[in-house]
Amino acid sequence: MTLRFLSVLLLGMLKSLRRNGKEWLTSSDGLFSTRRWTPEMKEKLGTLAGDNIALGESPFGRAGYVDEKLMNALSSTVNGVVVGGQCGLFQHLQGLDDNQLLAILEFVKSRRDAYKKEDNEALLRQKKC
Amino acid sequence: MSSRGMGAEVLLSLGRAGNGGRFDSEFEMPFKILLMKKVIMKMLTEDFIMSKFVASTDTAETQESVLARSIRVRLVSKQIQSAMRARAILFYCCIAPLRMLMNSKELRQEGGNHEPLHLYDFGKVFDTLERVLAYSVDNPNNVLPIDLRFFSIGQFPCLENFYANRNSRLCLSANKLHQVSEKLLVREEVYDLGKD
Repeated sequence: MTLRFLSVLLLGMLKSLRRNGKEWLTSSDGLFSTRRWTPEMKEKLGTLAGDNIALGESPFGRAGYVDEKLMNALSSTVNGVVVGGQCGLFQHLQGLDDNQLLAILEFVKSRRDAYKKEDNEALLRQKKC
Repeated sequence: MSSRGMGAEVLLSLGRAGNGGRFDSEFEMPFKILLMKKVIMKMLTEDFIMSKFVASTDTAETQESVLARSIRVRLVSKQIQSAMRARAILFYCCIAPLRMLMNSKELRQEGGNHEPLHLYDFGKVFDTLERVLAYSVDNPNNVLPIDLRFFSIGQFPCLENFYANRNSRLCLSANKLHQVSEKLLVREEVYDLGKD
């Protein structure tokens, strides 16, 4: 029975690969297949290493984690926390004690309107662009 | 687990439930569950026996939950076991090294001096994957040997340490007192088809 399951799964994987990855396959003469790469392209993009964690999975995983921890938070809040974390915004907070963290949170809360105004202006600028 | 005398068993993390369904998770989870199947079944069976034959005033404490019964019934099913085993085998021989090739960070963590793949190398990865898959569709027996490598070291030298580490890795038991060879565990729990 395992062999039958294996056969079906292998066929599914092959079909998926030929559908989703056809641009990378030599058999489909895909746009990014090995023989289409020129030495100039290889030299230009030589520093790019394949890394789906940093480019794709990690931000989604962090957003899921933050969303779960904050509960009922707006997506914009989750976005802010995740992007802040990725930029190293919270690194200097690691050595602080509870009272200091509380003081920082109070300060941020007191400036909420000012931050909101800046955020709205930034959003407007993005929309104009 | 330790209180039930199962501390000597290997326990693996199945991750957060909030991660949701992902293609590689659907292959990785059966792999981990199969490695822990004996201990999971032992625990669930004990709960079942307790709920049926041990009299207690606190029914909520001894009664088998719907979820526990569902998992127990599914895990003993030969069909479910076969489906899980097929996914687990494909995870071990195909998905795990493929995921490693696509994660330069993890590849560096495995050690060795080989450079991770460049963007243009993925054409070679996909071509190799297509070739092995196309052959194995008609010959599924091809993927049954535990040492089968979809991505050979000759073609992808950066995987050398990954394969070497996998063969020599030891799994710690829950009480951290015992060590079991991961490969031996995989051979017994995943690749042994038994009376399949």
